[in-house]
Amino acid sequence: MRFPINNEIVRTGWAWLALMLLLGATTGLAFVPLGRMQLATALLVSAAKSAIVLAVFMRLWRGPDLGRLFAAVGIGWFAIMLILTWADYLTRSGPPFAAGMS
Amino acid sequence: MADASVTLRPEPQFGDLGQQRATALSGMWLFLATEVLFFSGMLTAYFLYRAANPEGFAEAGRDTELWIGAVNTAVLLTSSEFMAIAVNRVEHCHPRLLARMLGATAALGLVFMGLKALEYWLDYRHHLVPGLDFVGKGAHAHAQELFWILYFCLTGVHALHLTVGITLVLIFAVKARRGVFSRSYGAPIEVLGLYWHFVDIVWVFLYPLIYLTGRSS
Amino acid sequence: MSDATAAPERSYLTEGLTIRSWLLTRDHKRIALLYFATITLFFFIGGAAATLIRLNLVDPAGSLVSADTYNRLFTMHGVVMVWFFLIPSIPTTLGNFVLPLMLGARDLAFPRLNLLSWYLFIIGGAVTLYALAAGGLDTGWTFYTPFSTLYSNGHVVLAVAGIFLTGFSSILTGLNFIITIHTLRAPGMGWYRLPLFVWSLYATSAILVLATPVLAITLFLLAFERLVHVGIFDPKLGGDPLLFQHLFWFYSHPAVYIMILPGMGVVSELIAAFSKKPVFGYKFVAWSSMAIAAVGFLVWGHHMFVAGESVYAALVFSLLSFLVAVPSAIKVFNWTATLHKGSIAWDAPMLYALAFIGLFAMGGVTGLFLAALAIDVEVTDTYFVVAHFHYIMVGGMVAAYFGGLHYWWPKITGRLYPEYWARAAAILIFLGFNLTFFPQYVVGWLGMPRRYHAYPPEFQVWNVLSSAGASILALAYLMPIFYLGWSLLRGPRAGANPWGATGLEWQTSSPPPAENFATTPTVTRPPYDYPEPAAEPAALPRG
Repeated sequence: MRFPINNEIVRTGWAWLALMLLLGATTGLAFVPLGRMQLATALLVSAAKSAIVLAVFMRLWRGPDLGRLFAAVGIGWFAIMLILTWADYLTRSGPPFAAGMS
Repeated sequence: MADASVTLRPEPQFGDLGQQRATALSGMWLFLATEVLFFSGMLTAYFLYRAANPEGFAEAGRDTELWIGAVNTAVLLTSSEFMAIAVNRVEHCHPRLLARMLGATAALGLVFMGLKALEYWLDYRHHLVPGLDFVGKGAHAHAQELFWILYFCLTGVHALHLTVGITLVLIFAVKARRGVFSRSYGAPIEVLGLYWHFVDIVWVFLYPLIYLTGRSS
Repeated sequence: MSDATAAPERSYLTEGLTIRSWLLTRDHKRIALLYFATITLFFFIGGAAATLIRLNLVDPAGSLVSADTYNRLFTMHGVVMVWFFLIPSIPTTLGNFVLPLMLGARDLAFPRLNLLSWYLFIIGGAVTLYALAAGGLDTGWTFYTPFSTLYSNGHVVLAVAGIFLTGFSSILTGLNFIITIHTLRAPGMGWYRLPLFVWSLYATSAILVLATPVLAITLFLLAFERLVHVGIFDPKLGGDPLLFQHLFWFYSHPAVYIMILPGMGVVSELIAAFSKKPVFGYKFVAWSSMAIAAVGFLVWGHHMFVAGESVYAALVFSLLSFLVAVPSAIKVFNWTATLHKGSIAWDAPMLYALAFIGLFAMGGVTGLFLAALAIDVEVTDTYFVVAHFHYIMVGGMVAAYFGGLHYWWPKITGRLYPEYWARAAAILIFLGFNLTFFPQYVVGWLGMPRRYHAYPPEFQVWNVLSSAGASILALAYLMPIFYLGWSLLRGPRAGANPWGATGLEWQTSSPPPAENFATTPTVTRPPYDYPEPAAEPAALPRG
């Protein structure tokens, strides 16, 4: 069956390749002792993969304006949850951070 | 509904098909924002308990099946590639290729679910299912159990979402073969694609949180 | 007032007379009526629980029901009133009916999703009602862990499953409203020409879609822990029960703004229509709804001041809670300014709107008391808190709901209700309400704890007053059933615009045709485009 290629399909092909490489990178980096940066690095790579999926596969920048608004709000509200919850946990001792609990 | 040459009309509340398509896409983006919030609670819990129990989480993370996780990530990312091609194909009026791309997407989704089932079975064999016969090891057994509770909740909810996605993709693949979709009526494929890619993105974040914890020690 | 007219030959009510045409409808107006029937049922179920509670509290020994039954009663009251009455009330009934009309649209953006929302609502409601009928649960509507997950004897999972399903109904309704407001406005209907009710529905919908998913996952995690007997809130594993409260209140505080914002939107409409004046400071009122929705997500920790939250986080949440009062106050000032030099009509909707302003202001100010850490430490978990939120929810929100119901009743049914009886009911509700809940401020301040079936004898006089008020309130709430029901059969036919109000919904017949408008209207005038008040009563109005 003929498989017609156009610009978008080429872009998705490159995106797929980049995603595979990033997958390899994040898996490899997991075995490198990065100490406190382990989680941050892994999340950064995940964010990069997500950005590729959003931009290329999901057409975030080519679709309706509302798409960008709603994506930003979703992420922003997750950030609110994290920030204000951590405002509590970072400023007190005791469970779940109490020594001897686990 | 099978004849694509019938003149398509938008639903009565829309002015034209273009408005209907833009509205459907916007609606799906908003729904995906709600899904971000849906996963937020579990992820907040994960980050909290990981920070409070770094050793316990690292020990538990080492017990996960890394090869299944990595393969599954590659499987899902590839399925997204096929889905993106499918969306592109519907706009260029290739119903047969569209159907095959949707079929390939669903097939990879099923591969993911198969590997997941295998993984859950292995977790069961290794006594890692909280509430069943969980066995933690050493001083941080409780924290390990917390990890595994979050593991099953996160991957379970994700798998539920993926199941819904696979079902819809298969239904659309059958409809595509019958020629329901065309350049003027391709929005459902694109809308479903957004959902599929989102489920993929969730997994992209779950992968390091579950499988890459504690690997460097 | 327009002349009495004959009923339109065809309307959304005559389009299909079978049960199937109602249960499979895609018409937002019919779906609104389906919801109306459902939430009215839940209102009376929640009210029945309240009746038993108040009857029990007449006597300090609280001997009408056992302590365990009392716990189940206040849980039932809270669960039913919050999730099955207040949260859906205005949006699913008045919002569903009026929103497309106000926008000049044919229907909502996703009509089938709208019907699905209703089915999810009644299925969730049926599951929860079954849980309550089977014996209920004693956790309070707040389901705090580890009691709810590990120790409670009650149908926790069943009740929670019902609420979980109903939550999706909320999310889909909010999604539908937001998309509709963005994409289906009539030509010329810019954002600043929208009625303020639309702005408030948008803000409400934003909270519905962003907060409810968090409730869903929290209830899921709660059910998981209860079913599996291990979970992430279990202290034995190193889990934190306070995490449950963080996640629960992340939803439940914004949820109270879901409950009040639509009421504020209705009040804006009523104040304008019955003063025959544009709302003063339109943009301020519009954006204050958005501000309440946004800042409302930042204050949830004020429910946990004494639960073990860090004092620094408590400080932050306290300050933010002060901040969230500001946009509400802006609304109250602007409504008052709208009344100034207006041509006031004292119809029942206006009475409800005025009641809202006063009672909401009282409830809101006591919220500021509670936001102050030092005061909250003393009055948390007392009747002071109970009075605070009932002033807002019942004194405010239910009054707004009744006001909107009476205002749009002619549009929805094509009939006029008897004004004398409506005013009497409104006044009786106001009196009954204050007698019920003002004593609760006092007795709470004096130290009576909430959620107790018995109390020290020195608090009895306040409880008796409150229960007496409740009996008046109950009677007053029953009155509309009779006169509104009567109006359906014998009420005079309403014209398109019986109030002489502005807004696209009044430009179509009462009741409207299924397609809302014969042709899509074009909007060229600003909102609340009332003529300037005449200098002398005899002068003809302009415009």
